[in-house]
Amino acid sequence: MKFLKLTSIKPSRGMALAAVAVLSALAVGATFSTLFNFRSSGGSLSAYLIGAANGRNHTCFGTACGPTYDPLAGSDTIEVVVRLGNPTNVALKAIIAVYRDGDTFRGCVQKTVDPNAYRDVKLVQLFGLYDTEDFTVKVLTRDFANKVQAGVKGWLTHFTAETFDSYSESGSFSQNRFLHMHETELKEVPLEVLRAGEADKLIALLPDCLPDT
Amino acid sequence: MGFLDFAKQKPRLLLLGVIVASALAVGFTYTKFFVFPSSGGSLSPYLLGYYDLRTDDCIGAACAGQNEDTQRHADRAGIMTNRTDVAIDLSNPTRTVLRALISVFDDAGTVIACTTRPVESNDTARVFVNNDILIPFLGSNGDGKFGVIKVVTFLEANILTAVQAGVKGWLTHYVSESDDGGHQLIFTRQSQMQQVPVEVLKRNSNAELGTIAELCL
Repeated sequence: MKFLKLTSIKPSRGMALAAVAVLSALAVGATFSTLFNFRSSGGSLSAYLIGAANGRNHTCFGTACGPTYDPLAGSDTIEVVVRLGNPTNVALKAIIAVYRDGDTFRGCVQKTVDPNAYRDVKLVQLFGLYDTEDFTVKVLTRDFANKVQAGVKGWLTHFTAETFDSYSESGSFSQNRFLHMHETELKEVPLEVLRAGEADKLIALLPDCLPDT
Repeated sequence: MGFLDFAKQKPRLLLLGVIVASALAVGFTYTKFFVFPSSGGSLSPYLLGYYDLRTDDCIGAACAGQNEDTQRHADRAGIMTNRTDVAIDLSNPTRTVLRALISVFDDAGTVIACTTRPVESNDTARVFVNNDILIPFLGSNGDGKFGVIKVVTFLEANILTAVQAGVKGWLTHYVSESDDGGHQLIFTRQSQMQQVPVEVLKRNSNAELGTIAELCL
């Protein structure tokens, strides 16, 4: 990685000020405003994240229905992707577990999430969650001393393939699929819930967890 | 803008005028009793998001493309995922003018690009990861890359020396797909930039901020 070489920079006032600002920040460190402005009052980290995943092999969601020309609409495909990012300077290990119908364990996988790194898991591909059920996704993070440690943020993305009729300009017909998608954040759960036994339960899954690949 | 002529107003309007004039004169008050107090809301100078510029036609088990019934027609290309980009929207609900340093990392956690944007009071700044950051910075298209995005906000008047909370953020992924009939559609998904406690930023050391700042400027 290259660094600023001040001698090669034209000595304009703006550049000089920028250089001074960078050098000041590097030398004495950035300061954090506390007076006359808004204090940082937010942001959160939890070692326990939860998300809701939905399988789909039908064309109606409640009263909202898609096209009915395909009686085997269940042939359309879905995917649910868990995405994790680590904003801290501590490498973490994540246990990603999927449950169905309450406490029915459906699958588990481990992922290492290094500082500033990004990892994702495709739940349907990995665990075969292709049916009409709803699933709960849980993520527990630990450090490399195997202690429960917060530090990962998460998102959950649903992809749904939708088949439709398509006619080209020449009049040829085909049925094609687009991918619809929606996304939300994994929700952070208080540490007390982990302490009340949930952490032990998730860690006990480790022998059944797929290894990080 | 005209002012109330009290002599011509009905009593109800007069009362309204007195209320407005009082509010303007002494400032608004905030109710503390008998109603629900403000119990939420948060600000952090450190936001985390992600970008995914992969253009695969299959996302795990979910595939765009042709239906099984027509896959035998080899001359039909089916659905093609063309291009993707990710918009970062930053809004500033405060009265303080801020500057955001937006850094983009690869999936392994190495910073690969950065840019800055002023975010003025009540302003919304929109930046595209591929179009506005990766392509200008790397000189090449960022298709296929994915990783995390960090946003750190500073006082505009003291860039790099005064970290200051005050910006909320959203992420929108855009994916354009086309079929062999010449139709093209844009699909989107949206989520939030997530707030990280300022303590994490302090703990991450000034070396990282310095590296980001050097790349950004």
